This record gives sequence, structure tokens and C-alpha cells, in this order.
Amino acid sequence: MALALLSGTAFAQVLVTALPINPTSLDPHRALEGYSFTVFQQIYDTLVRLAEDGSVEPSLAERWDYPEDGVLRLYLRQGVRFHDGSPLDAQVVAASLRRVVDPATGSRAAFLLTEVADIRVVDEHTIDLVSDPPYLPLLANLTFPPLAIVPLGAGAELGRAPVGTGPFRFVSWREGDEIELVADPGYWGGAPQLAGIRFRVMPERGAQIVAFRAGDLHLIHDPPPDAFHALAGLPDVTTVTFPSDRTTYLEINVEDPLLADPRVRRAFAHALDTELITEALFRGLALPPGGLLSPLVRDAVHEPGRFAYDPDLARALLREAGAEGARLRLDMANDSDLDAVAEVVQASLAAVGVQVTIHKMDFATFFELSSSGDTQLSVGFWGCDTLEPAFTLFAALHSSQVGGNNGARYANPAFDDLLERAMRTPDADARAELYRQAQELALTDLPMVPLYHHVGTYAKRGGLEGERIVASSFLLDLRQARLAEGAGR
Amino acid sequence: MVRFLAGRIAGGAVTLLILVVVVHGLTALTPGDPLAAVLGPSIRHLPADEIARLRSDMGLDRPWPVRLALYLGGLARGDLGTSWRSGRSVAREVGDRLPFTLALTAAALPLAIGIGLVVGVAAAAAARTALDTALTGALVVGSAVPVYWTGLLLLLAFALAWNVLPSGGAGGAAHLVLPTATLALASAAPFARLARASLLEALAAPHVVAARARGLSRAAVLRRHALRNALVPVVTLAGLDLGRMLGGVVFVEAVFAWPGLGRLIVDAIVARDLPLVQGAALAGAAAVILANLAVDLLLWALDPRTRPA
Repeated sequence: MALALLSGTAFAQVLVTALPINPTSLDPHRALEGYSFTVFQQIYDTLVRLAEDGSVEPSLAERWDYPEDGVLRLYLRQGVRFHDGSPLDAQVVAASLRRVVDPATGSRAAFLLTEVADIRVVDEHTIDLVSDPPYLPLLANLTFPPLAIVPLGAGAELGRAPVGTGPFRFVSWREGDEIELVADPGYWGGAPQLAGIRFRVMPERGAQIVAFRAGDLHLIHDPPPDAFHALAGLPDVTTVTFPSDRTTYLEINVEDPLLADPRVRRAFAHALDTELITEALFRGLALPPGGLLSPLVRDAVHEPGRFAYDPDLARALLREAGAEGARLRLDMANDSDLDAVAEVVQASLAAVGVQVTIHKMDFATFFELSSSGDTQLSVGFWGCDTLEPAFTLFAALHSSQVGGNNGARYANPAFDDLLERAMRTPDADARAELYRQAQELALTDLPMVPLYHHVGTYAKRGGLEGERIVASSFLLDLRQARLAEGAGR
Repeated sequence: MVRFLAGRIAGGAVTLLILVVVVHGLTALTPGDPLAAVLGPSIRHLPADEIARLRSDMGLDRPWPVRLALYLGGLARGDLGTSWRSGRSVAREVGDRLPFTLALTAAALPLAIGIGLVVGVAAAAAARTALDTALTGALVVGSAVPVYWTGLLLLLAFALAWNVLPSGGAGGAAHLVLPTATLALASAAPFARLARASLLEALAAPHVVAARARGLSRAAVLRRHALRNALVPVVTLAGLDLGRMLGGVVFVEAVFAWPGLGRLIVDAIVARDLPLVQGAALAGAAAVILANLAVDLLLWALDPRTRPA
């Protein structure tokens, strides 16, 4: 009631949704996990954002250009104010970006700005980001929610009392229970149609589904495939799928004596029954692999059927490589969604005479094994949050990341060179071609065999319309969302 | 009395100290990279030098005994440290959550005892009949079923099918009903078994037989003579059971989205947020020790034999 009055909209309703975790922080520069993005991006804005087709669209920056190579010039929207009334200008934006790279902040997103050599304020509403040599993924990087713009002089208090320029203002946070936001009628993009949002922290998926069915929640993310199909049949409920930025892989340690032979890796690619994964496990809520990156990613190579399921070919390749009857270990981090996937890999490889034992462990143990090169096979997923190929390709496969995230220990100078040149090439077509060549090379060398591309899902009710999710359930855009009259709780 | 109390408090302090050393040691012995656990998959985007810097910030480059000594030093000053993940003080993190867990256990424990006593007394009164078997059997099933499952069933019934209670969260008294019932149902069986056994034993005791021989009714004997003696082990069990209950609370809190200490500690363990694990474990242990102290005092009042000479 209070929320409806505050918003000034007669029939505006409060949207209630669930979060599986209590966010660690609502300071975008200190937040760790994706589900906190879901909350804080309602409160803050980034300079640019991802459009539904995956392209970059204006936000706090209303346009941009490159006055010279290596200089990204952003023209800021005028008249924007933070929820505390302070104005947004180029100085504030510069300070906010510097806060991200300041080691004292401890931002996990600082890596996205490491190529920025200088941040220059041109005038009150214009700012230059200078990189030398030029670094083209920068614009896409600025869509990443942890690079959102915070007010001047923001300190540690921002994590529990967030202040941004976004469509919703922070009201309260009961730790582990609920976060409440209210619409900002003065939002530069126009007042939201919702009166507010309540995020209920509900760690248990089954309980989320019960609450949704009872009408206590208007929207739930990623219900398991069975529940998704069951919810689809209920009155008043709409189920939605959207292309996701995530892909799950079989990662292969190319330094392992047995796995160093590319024929063995190619054999695996043809041995894996990926249709069993997409159809039987995910019941159609996953796409068969067509490349290293989700088809949503810009310049992604996508060619479904590239690795046809062909156990005979796989056996022949293994015979050729002298790897018949190999015994291998598959390590993975605990993740209930991936358990069955790993079992399909195990069964598929067993069918071509390769015995795989699965070892599950916590993420910390897994990361230590993987980064120190002590794995043979592993199953895991990568998100490509900025939809720029370099976001995933560099972290996962560039030789400089061996000992870190490059668990396949793939170090191919030709791949490094193609990727680095792509990141430095201003011409979009030439860049796309370099990205394509880099992906083709990695798909030939196969340090990672793609298993499936994720499909994002959510279920909604209460006549919810106008919401938008691009690439990831973390990127929930509620600026234009509205609920049917009487649906709010 | 004062000496008794002082002894108990000193014992509690030693227990807490041992707990700190053991929890600290276990976390150090657990394989895996604590930084990777704290950061989760976002470590995937960190360059190697940044990883080294964070590790040193968190003191992970120091040997374990040094880290333990620093922690104990902080503890002596009343400083529980700072959560690695959220950057908030552990005292605040724990302080936000502890009241919810205390409220839940404080509501569930008497209910569990109540259910246990009613069923236990009824079973003892009807000893070795079909009713006795049915009652004790039902409770055994109740305690064998995971709270997870009971919780979801209760949710389906009361929040979805009949829509009379909220589906989770911590709004008001109504929100406390289902988690309390779930936790109490899961914890009632030992009380019922104990009440039944000790009541049967008490009923066979010479003074009870004598009272019955003096012509007192069966109900009066039960109430005046047998029940008081049968209560002593039940109260003792209540103190012991509180620790077990704090274990079960973890699942109940997850199912009902109850923002208590149990969920905080599980999240902290998964994230290897050592200062938070320590602080939450310490708070939980202190609660159990205090509750046991209260039980000792209650027993003192209830049973003269427990008083030291």
C-alpha cells in the first residue's frame, strides 16, 4: 500500500520474485555472484547495456564514437541524478571507473578495465577511455553490471545502502530474508510501471516452486526441466525460454600424454551423444553444440552437427592413436545440474572403450586441481556475459591463463595471435573474421569439446508483461514491466 | 551454587577454545583453494597476480599457527573478524541471523517436548497394546523422514493446497508455524521414547507401587509420583538435543527460507569464509553451552541428587 502511494501510479503493483542466495553485497564493485546482479542492476545503471539481439545499446552514455584509434569517447546523458539527488557527470563516471580498478576496492570486475591506460574527462558530459594498443572489447565490457556507475565518494556503506541512478530505489534489506525496492518516479528513462520489487531469498528450489504455484511469487528463474514443463500447463502461468550466453564443455588437459594427441580429442567429440543430453536430460531446454560459444555471442561460429555422433569413427580414431581401452579420470565441481551430464560423457566414452571414473568435489578443490594441471578431463560451463567472444576465449584458452583458468592448458601461439589481433582490430568485419579463425582453430585442436548450449528459462504469472531478460537470468530488466491489476501482494 | 556455576562457565570457555582450534584446523586441512571458494566461479576472470594479492590480503600466505594466533588475539579483544565475502563484521553477520534461529528453536523445543511427553505418557499408560505400538511407530517414522521432505509436504498442504499459511520467509508469527512444526515433529521421537521408558520404570518403582497400594488412583500416581521422576531424563535430553536441533535447523531454514544462523553457516562453509564459519560456529556453540547450563540449573531444582555434596 505504502509502495503504491509512493510511486504515484494508481494501479501499480509490487513484483515479487525469488533469489536463491542472500547477496554478499549490493555494491556493484564488490558483489561476487550473478544473483546479486539481478538486484543491483535495478538500482544502478551501466554506461551501455546489452540489447535483446545481443548488440550494445545506450544507457547512461547516449552515444559513443572512436575519435582516434584506442580512444573510446562516451557522451553522457544530461540531467541524470542519483537517488540521493547528486548529479551524474563525467567526473562522477571517471571516479566510478577508477574505483573499480583501485585495488582497495577489491572489485572482481577490475580485469575488464585492465587495458584502459587512461580515463580522461573531456567536458562535463564527455569522457574518453584510452587504451594503447587499441582494445575493442572495452565497449561490450562496459555492459557488465559490476561496472555500474556509483556516486562520488561512495564507500563501504554502499553494499548495504545502495544509491544509484537506476529505475528502482533501495528501501530495505532483511538479511537472508527479503530486499525491497521502490520505483523511482524521476528515473531518466521514465517512471517504471511497477510500484516496486520484493526479492525473497529462497535457497530451496522446491520451496520456490511451491511459493510460485501458491501465487506468492510472480517470477521464478530456471525451474528444473520437469517443473518447467509442469508449470507450463497451469492457468495464469506463462513459461518463457530465451537464448543463454552459457555453454557447457568437456575440458581436456592437452598436456596429458594420452590426451595430447588431437586424434583422441576428436574421437571424444564424435563419441559424445549430445542428443541424449539435450533431449533426454534437458527435455529440449538445451541446444546441441554448434561451436565453442553460445550462438547468441557476437561473431560466434555456430554450425550444429559439426561433430556428428559416430562411435565407429571415434573407435577408429582411438585405434589410430593407440588409445583404445584408455582409463581416464573426470573431475568436476559439485553441481547437481552437471551430474547427469558427466554420466552421459562417461557412458558415451565407455561405448567406445574408454573407461572414465568421475570425481566430484567442491569448487575450491576443483579449481586448485584444474589450475595446477592435475586434471585429465573435466566438465564445466562458461558464461560469456558481455557477449564478446574474447570474454570467454581469452580467459579459457589464451596461453597466459595456463595456471589459472585455462584448465585445458591450451597454449597455441597461432590462437593467441588471432585472438589478440581480433581484440585490437577496430574494423568490425575484420574483427569478426579474426574471431572466426580463432574459433575454427580451437575447434580443430579441441582443448574443449562443447557439449550443449544452455537455454534460459523462467516462469511468470499475475499477468506480468514487459519484462526483458537478455542472455542470462542475472540480467532481468524490469523498466517496462507491469502486472495485471490486483496481482500484487 | 556459586562454585558450581563458576565451574560450569570455566568448562564452557575451555570447550569454546577447543572448538575454535578444531574448526580453524579443519578449515586449514580441507583441500582446495579457499580463495577459489570465496570468489566462486568469478575467480575465472582474475589474472594470476591479482589472485596472489588477494591471497596475501586474506592472510592465506601465512602459516596456519600464525593465523590461529592472530584470530585468538582478535577474539581476546572481542573482535570476531570480518567476513571475507561480504566485508561486513562477523559480529553483525551473526547478530542479524542468530535471533531467528533462537526464535525457531525456542518455539520448536517445547513443542517437541510437549508432543513427546503426550505421546510417551499415552504409550506408557497403554503399554504393550496396539495403541502403544502405533504411537511409538508413528514417531519413529516421523524422526526417520528427512526434515526436508516433511517441510516440503507441509508447504504443499498448508501454503499451496489450503493456502492458510505463508510459503516461507520471516514476516510474522504465521511464518514461524510451519518451520516450528517441522522441526518439532522431527525432534519429538527421542522425548517420547524416553518419557515412555522412564515412566514405565517409575511406575514399577517401590514408592509408586506403595502409593498405589495406599489407594491412590492410577492417574494421581502418574501425576504426583511417577511423572516428576520421569521428567529428569527428559530435561537432560532437552539440553543435549538442542545441539542436534541446531543441526536440523539448517535444512528447515533452507526449505522455509527462514533467515537463520543455520543457512548462514552452510553458505559460509561452502564459500570457505573462515572468519564467518568460526564466528557462526562459536555463536552456535555458545548457545548450546548456555542452554545446557540452564538445564543443569533446572535439574538442580528438580532433582536433589544432582546437587554436589
